[in-house]
Amino acid sequence: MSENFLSDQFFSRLETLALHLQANLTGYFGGKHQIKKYGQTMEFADYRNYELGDDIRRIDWNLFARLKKYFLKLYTDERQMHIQIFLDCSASMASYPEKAKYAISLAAALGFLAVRNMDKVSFHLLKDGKAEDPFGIIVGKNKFFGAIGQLEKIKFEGEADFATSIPRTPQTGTNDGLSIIISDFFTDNDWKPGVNFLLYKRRQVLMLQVLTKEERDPLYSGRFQLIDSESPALEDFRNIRIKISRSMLEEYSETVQEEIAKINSFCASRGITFLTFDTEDRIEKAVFKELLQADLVN
Amino acid sequence: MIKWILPLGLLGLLSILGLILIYLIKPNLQQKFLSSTYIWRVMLRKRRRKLPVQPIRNILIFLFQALALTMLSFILAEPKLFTEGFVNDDTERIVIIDGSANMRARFAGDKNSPTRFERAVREVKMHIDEWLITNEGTLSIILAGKEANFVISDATSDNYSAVVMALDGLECTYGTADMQGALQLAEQRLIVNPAAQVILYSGSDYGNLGTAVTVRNLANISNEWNLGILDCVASLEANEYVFHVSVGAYGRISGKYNLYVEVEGAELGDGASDCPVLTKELTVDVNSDSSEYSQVQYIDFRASDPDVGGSEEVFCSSFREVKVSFKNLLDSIPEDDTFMVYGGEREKARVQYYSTEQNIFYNLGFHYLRDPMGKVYDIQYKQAYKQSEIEMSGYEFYIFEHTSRESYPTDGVLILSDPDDLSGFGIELGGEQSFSGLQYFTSPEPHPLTQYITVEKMGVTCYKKITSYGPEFKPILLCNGDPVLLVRTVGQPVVIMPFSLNRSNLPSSTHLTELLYNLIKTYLPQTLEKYSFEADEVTKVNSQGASLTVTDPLGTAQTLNEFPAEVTLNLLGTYTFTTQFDYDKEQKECKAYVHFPKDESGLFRMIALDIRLDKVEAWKELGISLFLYLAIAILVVSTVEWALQSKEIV
Repeated sequence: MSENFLSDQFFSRLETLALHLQANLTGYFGGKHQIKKYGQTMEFADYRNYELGDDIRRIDWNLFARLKKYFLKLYTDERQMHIQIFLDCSASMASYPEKAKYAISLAAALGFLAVRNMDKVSFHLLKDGKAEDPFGIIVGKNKFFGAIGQLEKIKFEGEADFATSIPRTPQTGTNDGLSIIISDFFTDNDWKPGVNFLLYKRRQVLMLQVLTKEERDPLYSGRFQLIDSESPALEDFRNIRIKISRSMLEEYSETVQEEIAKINSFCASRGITFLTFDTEDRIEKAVFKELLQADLVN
Repeated sequence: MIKWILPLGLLGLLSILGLILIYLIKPNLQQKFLSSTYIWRVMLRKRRRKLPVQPIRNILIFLFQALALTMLSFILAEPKLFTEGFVNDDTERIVIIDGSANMRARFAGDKNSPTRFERAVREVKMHIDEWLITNEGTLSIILAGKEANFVISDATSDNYSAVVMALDGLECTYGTADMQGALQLAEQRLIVNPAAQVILYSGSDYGNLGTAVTVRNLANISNEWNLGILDCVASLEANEYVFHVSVGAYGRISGKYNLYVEVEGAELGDGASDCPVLTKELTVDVNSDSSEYSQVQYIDFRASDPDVGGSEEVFCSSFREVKVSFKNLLDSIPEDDTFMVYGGEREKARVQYYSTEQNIFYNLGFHYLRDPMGKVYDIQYKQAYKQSEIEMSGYEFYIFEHTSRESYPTDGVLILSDPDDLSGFGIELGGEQSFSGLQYFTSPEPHPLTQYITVEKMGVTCYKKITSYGPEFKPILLCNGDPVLLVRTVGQPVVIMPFSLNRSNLPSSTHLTELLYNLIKTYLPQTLEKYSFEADEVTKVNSQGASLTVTDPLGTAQTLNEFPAEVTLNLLGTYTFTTQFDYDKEQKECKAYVHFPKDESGLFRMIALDIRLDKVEAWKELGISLFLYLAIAILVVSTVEWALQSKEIV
């Protein structure tokens, strides 16, 4: 499934990028992300006065020779982060095949960026009030590519309930990395409590909205019975009978923009990065342009 | 059982199929699967908020359903289109003939002239040919008597002879007529045929009864006048009867007329000589030549009035009958020229008391009753002190106390108080029952003798036990389960009290007086409540005896056996009420007078009725059934309904 979007060439281009995460995260030892704290790397960061009990091996003797004062050399610290990718696996994501593929591809690309940077990755498939974690913690490219092959077999069905699923996710660390939510966010279920939970866990949050062109600007008109892909029966309230006129299509597009603006406003107020992708755009554009512009990769 | 006036209307129920189809047939909508309809729903909500009239559309479905069902109901009611306009069928005549006593007026001075009623009937007869034969119309006749009734209805030329016979059989009443009821009957006919003409034959004016009614007033001011005695009331003032006479004069009448008052059976004061019939002549001065003139004069007459030849020594304290009359007066209504007054004699309640141990309790009790009952009853009390003084007849009540006799009087009510022996009445007396304190009475059931008496507060300390009594006796009061007041219900009334008043609390309270009051009211009830009636009045009558014979002025007798009874007095004159007793008491007679209704004496009247019968612009049937139009309307409504059902959209 992913080969349409993620070619070897694409992965090779991704080799040039790395995820740029916030520096206030703590993460785990052994990664490549520089953080604000001082550590044991070889990269010099700063000096400070020597204090009783400090390791005398860190005293800069050259400086002592010139100034007759003891100063300690401080080095930056690099940590490994845990990248959680929450993928909306409800039926609404599969009603357009390109939408599902795009979402998986996006997840795969971000996952690749993580493992390439020696971070831990976990995929959480959100559907029916649960967050399935079929691959566990992925570290290293070999394991990652093995997992990517399994992503093709994901079944998109039922409803996604972020508010219930995300808090139930196991191993949700605190202040230890990035949480990425990939969804269309057009749902009756309130997804905001789930996002708030991640913020409560002091994780960096990235929300990626995937929409098809038809969802943004529908072209159909006339009498329709619109059937929601997540509705269990025809009599469900989500299924509506409607006569669609041109003016209604315009109003629809306006409503889409308004809903996106609402999500954007919510995210901005909480320091969340929110990006919307159109499935018509190539995945490379999403990664090399959108994410780059958002300063999420460098 | 249900009957369908228009069974075809039930076909309208087929429209229910249409209603069902509305729900079944819906436009075939193209189904469109979307990942989510969330945005569409948000957009629709936004759109509804922008359009405030949108909610109305949601109830349109219900409104149209209600409309369709309403029209279905209209169809069942078989609607037809009418237009305003007179119906040409104005050949129907509804004749109302006033049958009140007023219609008995004749031309003054001519005894053989026809009465107003006869003239009315004659006029109707004159028009029958025109109404039934010439116009080929229909005729209904309503006689407004005491009650209004159709004499004949919807008669056509085929019923010509029946109409004539019906008119010949009509009679005028002596009372007032139910004109309101008669017009209401006519109104019923007008509902059927609003073009019918109502012709009212009467001797009175009615103002405006509506455009549908033509009043034919048979009053004739040139030839009719009346001088009548409207009322005569006797009232007792300072032990002297005063007679208040009301005389009415109507029409063109002037001059002095003599009014004769004849008092029979008068009981005069001490200064009067024996005068069985007291006759006085009064003068009524009437002076009017106005056509609309009527006047009522009030004349008081008393025997002691010097103006009528009396004196202070001569006064009338009772009378048997009084006749007030104009003699030889040839006015239009001779029936009101005479007026009789009865009821001038009080009912005698004579009491004889004998006791071996004399006391004053009974004497005091009857004495107290003279004040409240004195206007109606003449209570006379006699006490026999010795056996030899006992009279065996001539009293209404005989009281024997602490004694027994072999024979008792048989013409009055026997009251046996604390008797020694009652074997003569089939009653066995046991021994005395004595108690240290008062034993109170109970009443097994209400009885007129104990009416308004709190029997639970009556009591004795000693009484004679009655061990057995016959079925003709009925216990009224009990003490410890033993009868202490027995009444014989068959034949001569006997009241037995097997206790001494000295050993009871009756004399020390009002109970004895109340008991004596009830005794008089029960055994000497007034036959009539009053003695003067208007024609057609209904009165309640009572009887002191087993039966009462009512004899009307024509001599026709009617015997009544159950009381109180009701008697209708529909003839003018004196009614006699004769009471027969089923024991040795002589039958009693009282009289009452039924006079001409005072309102009917007025010859030229204006009567106000609360009814108007107007000629209604009749709705003429165009013959166009609205069935089809309603069906089309239902179709339209159903279509709109279907459209709404099918859309449910913005």
